[in-house]
Amino acid sequence: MELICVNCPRGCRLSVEKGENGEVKVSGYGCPRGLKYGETEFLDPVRTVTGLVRLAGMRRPLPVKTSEPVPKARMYDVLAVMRQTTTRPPVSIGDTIVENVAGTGASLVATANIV
Amino acid sequence: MTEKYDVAIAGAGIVGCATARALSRYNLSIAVLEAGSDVAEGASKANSAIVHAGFDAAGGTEKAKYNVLGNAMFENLCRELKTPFARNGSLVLAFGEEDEASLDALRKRGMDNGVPVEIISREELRRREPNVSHEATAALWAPTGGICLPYDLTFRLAENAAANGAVFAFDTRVSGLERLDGGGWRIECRDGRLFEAKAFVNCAGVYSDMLNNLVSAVKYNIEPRRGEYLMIDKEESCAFTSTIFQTPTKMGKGILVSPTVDGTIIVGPTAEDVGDKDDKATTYAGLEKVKAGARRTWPELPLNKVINEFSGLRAHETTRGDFVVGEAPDAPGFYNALGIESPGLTSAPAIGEKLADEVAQALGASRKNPVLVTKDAGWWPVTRNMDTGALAELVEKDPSFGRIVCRCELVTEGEIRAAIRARVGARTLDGIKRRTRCGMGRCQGGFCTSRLIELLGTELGTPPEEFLLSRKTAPRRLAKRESAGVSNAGRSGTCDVLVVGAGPAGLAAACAAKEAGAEDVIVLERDESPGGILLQCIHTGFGLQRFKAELAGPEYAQRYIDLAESLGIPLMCGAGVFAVKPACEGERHAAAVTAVSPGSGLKEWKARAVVLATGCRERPRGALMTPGTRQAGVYTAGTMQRLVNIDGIVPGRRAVILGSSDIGLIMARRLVFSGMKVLACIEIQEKSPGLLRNKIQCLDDIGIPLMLRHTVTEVEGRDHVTGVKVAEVDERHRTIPGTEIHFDCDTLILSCGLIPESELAKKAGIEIDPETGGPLVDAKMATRTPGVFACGNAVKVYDIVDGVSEDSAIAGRSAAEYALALKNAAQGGKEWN
Repeated sequence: MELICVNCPRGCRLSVEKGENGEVKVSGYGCPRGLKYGETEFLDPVRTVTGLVRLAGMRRPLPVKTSEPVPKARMYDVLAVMRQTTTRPPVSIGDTIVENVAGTGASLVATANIV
Repeated sequence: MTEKYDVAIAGAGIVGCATARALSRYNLSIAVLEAGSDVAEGASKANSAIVHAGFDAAGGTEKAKYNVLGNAMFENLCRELKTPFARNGSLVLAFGEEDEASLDALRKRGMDNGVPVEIISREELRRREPNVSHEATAALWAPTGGICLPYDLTFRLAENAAANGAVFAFDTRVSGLERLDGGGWRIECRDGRLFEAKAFVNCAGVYSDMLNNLVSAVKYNIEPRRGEYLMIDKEESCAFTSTIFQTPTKMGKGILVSPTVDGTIIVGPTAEDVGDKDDKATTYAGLEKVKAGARRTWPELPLNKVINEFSGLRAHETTRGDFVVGEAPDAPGFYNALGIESPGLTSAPAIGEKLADEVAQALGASRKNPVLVTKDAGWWPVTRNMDTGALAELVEKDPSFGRIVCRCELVTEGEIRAAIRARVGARTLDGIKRRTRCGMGRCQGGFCTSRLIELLGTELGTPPEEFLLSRKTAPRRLAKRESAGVSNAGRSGTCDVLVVGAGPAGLAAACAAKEAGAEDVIVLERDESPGGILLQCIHTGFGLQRFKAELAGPEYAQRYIDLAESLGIPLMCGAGVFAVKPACEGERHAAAVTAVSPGSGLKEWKARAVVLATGCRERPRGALMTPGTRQAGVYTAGTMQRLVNIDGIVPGRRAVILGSSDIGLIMARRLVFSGMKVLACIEIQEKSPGLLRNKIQCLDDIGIPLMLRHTVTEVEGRDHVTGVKVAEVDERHRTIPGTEIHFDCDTLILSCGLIPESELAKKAGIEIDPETGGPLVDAKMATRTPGVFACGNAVKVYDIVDGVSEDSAIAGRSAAEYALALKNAAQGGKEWN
């Protein structure tokens, strides 16, 4: 499997394959993050999902992200939760808005301060 | 219910408004019925803006008569209405002997019409207009030719008429006319409104034939004649002083090149008969004609400085080819201003006076207003033209005049609110644009659209997103006025390092300057909060190098905001810097920086060093020259990002994205995540200029096709986008015939590159790098102007924010070093090297 690492703008070209004993072999990475990316992208690709949730009494929404990457296949489930969520100000960066979002184990956390 | 007036005028273009204003001198009740949603919606908003001298129309015609009469009225009229006018004179170029013969015929015609004209030699022409083509062999000079601002003039005529009692009804299209037994007219409108008037004045532009033909046996036929134009940036304002025509042909006066009263250069128009009375689309063929025609006059026509293209429809009457002005012979009480094509703008004031006198006489009305009330009739302070003392006073009275909304044209919130509250007030984005110039500059509304819809919303009591739909206008409702309250801060100050802009570059520079020993470091920010463009970049991926973490944009910004605050750096928001004046040699500061803010009014800072961190702007739609009708539904990627991520508005369902730079890719994913469908991302190059990781995460992950070597050839839809046509291009970016495909969509996103925002630097006389468009800087981020530094996207467009922070810290440290050296020098210490 040929991949391009998305961790940083360098965009290393990775080559991932299954070894004889079932282990995952990654080559072409430039840092430990790249190695890890190659492995997960091969076995179970994950993404940090960002989006918006409503703020009660305010026109403007609150930006949020998942506290850790979630399986790529679950992105739209996370987004559906964001759409249904309303929270109240004040909110600080890092505040948990939804725990265990869509059963992924990750939380939705605020990425902006709202007074 | 029938609404009764003495006079009903159909059409709120320049002729209708001039007539209404002239009639408002009389003891008559007047209603102006307009099919569109604002004044000047037809030819009055899209024309050459020329006040013709009057040498062109054949002697004895109505066109010649009203042209000459109207021309003479312009000085006084524009002075009374406080709208710009300049008698810059007109030149008609001849290219060779045949043209020179036509020129002489034109000169004779001018003399017959009583217009001062003379022929000047090639040498004299070159002396007056050095940028004119060497091919021009002689020219006709008409000193009484002029230029004006047609939509502004129309609006002010309307506002003045309204101040003197005329009533305006918009979205009111006359659909039926019936003569009443006792004289007068019963007027049916499409929205169901019914009017009765003793006299009816037909100023309906391209529709005037239809109204006339309803009541009169003398039939007319208006064939709309389309004219397409290009507008060139103010940077070229010195290219020409006079309006430059070419020797005329049957179809019109040919392609002209003219300065405008706003300082831009207009080139156009084409002349093409189109059957459709609403077809105001621009076309590839038309714009190519404009370019080719304009190059004859101006060989160095700078196509990279085009900021906009548009087209308008002239009301060309085919049976007589002349203006029809006055009462219809077989329909008493029905007055025509029909077939008013060029020179209609010039003639409008005279036509208005003539019709008003004729109507008033017929109705036996007396003059009630020998002098029209002009007080409080739509005039608000234009801060752009004010001296600093007057501006300071104004901001103290009303702080909203200290809040700059349009950064390209320097329009303040106070002006926009006044334009909405005027008698014939703005109810649309375009209405604000035409009354204040907000959104008319280089960024073409990229930055201010979001703020404008919010202001329209609060002033008129309508949800902001309504204003993004083109024809939608809001009902009138009076809004509360903001109470004034200004903290009494000082008018001037000094500091070591002054940073302009609190985006990532400005924040990093300020923090580094403070850490490097500068004591007084301040940051001035135009927006209401610090953080710059990062605030709308809610995706993650920022700060991998700088903070070893994957942060969202607002999180990254907050780290620097917190750092700045912990270092005691004041971040002054809502402060629009409008001048940076480099100091003279021997002064103890590097530059004086003038800023205006609602809180502290006008303030001048003497800074020992200045860092310009003004960011960048997006290439707007007009500059791309994608033909179409300028429908609603076309957004630059950054404008869309702000609407979606900050304002929480998703203004469409199906989008196509043109351009695959990073922000376009990021927005492709964001729109899908916000519930829209993104059909394709179109890229003219062979390879996407965006980062690979963005292409993978934002297109491939989502399943959006990237169409390389393709471009948008046409934007479809009249009022709102209904689709786009996309075609393949060859290696020279020409479209390949037969490859065109169509997408059904209601939104087109433009992601066609960023340009450094270097207005302040240019105004300050700082040397610009022609390659990047930003200030020329050395390794210390110093510009060629001593003590002035620049960093971030204002210098060159960066791929990642960590790079911005790193280079900006260098700028901050260099600025601190310079400021400290200057301080020491003042105390006899060593100089900056």
